[in-house]
Amino acid sequence: MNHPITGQKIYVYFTIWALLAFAHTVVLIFQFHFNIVIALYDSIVFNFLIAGFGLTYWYVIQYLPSSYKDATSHIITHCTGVALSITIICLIQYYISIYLFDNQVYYQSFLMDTLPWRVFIGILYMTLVIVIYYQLLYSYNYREKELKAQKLQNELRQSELEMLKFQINPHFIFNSLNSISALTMTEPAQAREMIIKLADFFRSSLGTKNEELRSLAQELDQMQLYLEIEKVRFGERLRIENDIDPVCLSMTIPNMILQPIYENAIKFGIYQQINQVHLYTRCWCTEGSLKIAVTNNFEDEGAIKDGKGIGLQNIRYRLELIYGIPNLLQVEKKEQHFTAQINIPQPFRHD
Amino acid sequence: MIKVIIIDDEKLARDIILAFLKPYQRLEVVATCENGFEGIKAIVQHQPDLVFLDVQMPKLNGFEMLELLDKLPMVIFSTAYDNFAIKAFELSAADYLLKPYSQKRFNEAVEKALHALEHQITSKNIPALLDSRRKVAPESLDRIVVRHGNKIIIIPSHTIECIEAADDYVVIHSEGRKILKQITMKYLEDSLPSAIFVRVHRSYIINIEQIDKIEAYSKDGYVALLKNGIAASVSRTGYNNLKTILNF
Repeated sequence: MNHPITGQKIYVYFTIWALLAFAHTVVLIFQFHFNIVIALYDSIVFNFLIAGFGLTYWYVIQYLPSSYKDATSHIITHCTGVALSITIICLIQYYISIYLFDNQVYYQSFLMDTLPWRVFIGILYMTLVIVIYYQLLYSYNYREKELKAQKLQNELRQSELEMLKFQINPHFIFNSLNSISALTMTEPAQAREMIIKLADFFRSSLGTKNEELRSLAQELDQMQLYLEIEKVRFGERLRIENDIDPVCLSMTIPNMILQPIYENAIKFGIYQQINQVHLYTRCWCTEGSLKIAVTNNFEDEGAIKDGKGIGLQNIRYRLELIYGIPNLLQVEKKEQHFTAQINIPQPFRHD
Repeated sequence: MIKVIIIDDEKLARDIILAFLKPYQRLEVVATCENGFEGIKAIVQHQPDLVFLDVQMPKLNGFEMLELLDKLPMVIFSTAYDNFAIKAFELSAADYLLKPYSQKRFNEAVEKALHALEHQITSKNIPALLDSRRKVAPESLDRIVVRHGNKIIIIPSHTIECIEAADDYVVIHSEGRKILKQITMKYLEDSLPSAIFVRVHRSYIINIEQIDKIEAYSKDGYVALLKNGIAASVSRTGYNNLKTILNF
């Protein structure tokens, strides 16, 4: 931590000392009947010496070990430091006085008589300065710690979100490449088309520049690519149908949140049954909320687990991290249809 | 002629095998199948010499399909990405193709298989493969498949109430049915999820969710009464296993 008393604060610091010096002067003039020169001299030298020592004392505090465990070493250091400072201050004042006012006998004896007082007040002032320094240091450390914790929390959240975002099954990649390999022999044009679709899909899902949120239109465009690629692989076995309210298209949605839902639907639809899989997507919205339901049919009750798959867990967790609301994903299993519905809160518009 | 069957659920994946097989005049493709059920039927019907088999298929995967066969053909496996399968292949030295693969790699696999066929080396490595598949994926058995004549029964693990030993077979009790399968109790004990299934006796594995009550039977013997009415003997070790898992 840098010196806490810098810039504007130096003026405040010295103003306080000036006020103390003023009080000191007034006491000397009215209580002890000194002339104004001596009174001013005495108070300025005494108070501003302490002010100077107080200002530099910060460096003693800064170079002490910052742990508060060995309090004794701190106390011993400060006792020594204060004693030394006060001794030096008194000696300086004494020698200046002898040099400047050696003919003022009354003042000289006053100086000697009030030595215990000077020492006492000096200790009091220095202690006060030290206490203030500690207070500042403590609040600084506390703030620093809080900031650090906050930063760490943010980073953790960010990395978790990053991790949750891109969870594409390697199956998808390798099987798609295998499909392309087959198409190059029989239908080169279709192979090229599929390569471009794959490239487009990965371009918008890979990389770190992606925003956390995007519009539903963008999300659906990308999911369209994903489903078209899967359609090349599965052909007639996959049937896709959408019912999307165009009003919702400009609403926001977390990037790639639908991908694991589709992946899950295909996994349980295609891999667990031999019949055609019908994938039905419905989007509708209300004030402040966008709702998307993806339904797939499945063959037998036994094979499907109740949305406990890792993909759906990740969605649930990601939505909670982003919106701070639990249970934004709901799943329903009814009459051989599995539905995953997500509920995306929308920021209220101010227009 | 060497009879070949191709089993893969994706048409394009079957196409590529057909295309790569073109240079081999001696190999005749007698059937292409879209899933494990068709695969079994075709294998039983045609008795092929060589089978191209995809590991990931709907309902009945490649391994499960092989488990249901009495006589094993020579197999070249293919998979896109499955750590368990790849590990199992490596352990058992079975040949496999990682999708996508080149014609060169495909030829190597075919040459190897042809060499084995010519020297009448039967595919002893497949039982070893199924064994290692079990070893690399413990507690991952989420269903058991059984062939019953022409019918194939798929029993999801969580519907199994209990399993009883019967000589070389086990009797699987599930939803009111009793299904016989040739498999060891040890294998099932290791492969079924241990959070639900407990070996309570030499002759019994039970689903803890099916327990109605546990009663003392003799000096150290207990009996677990299940919801389906079966009384399963519980040995002292079995009782301790139950104690740990049920926390009593």
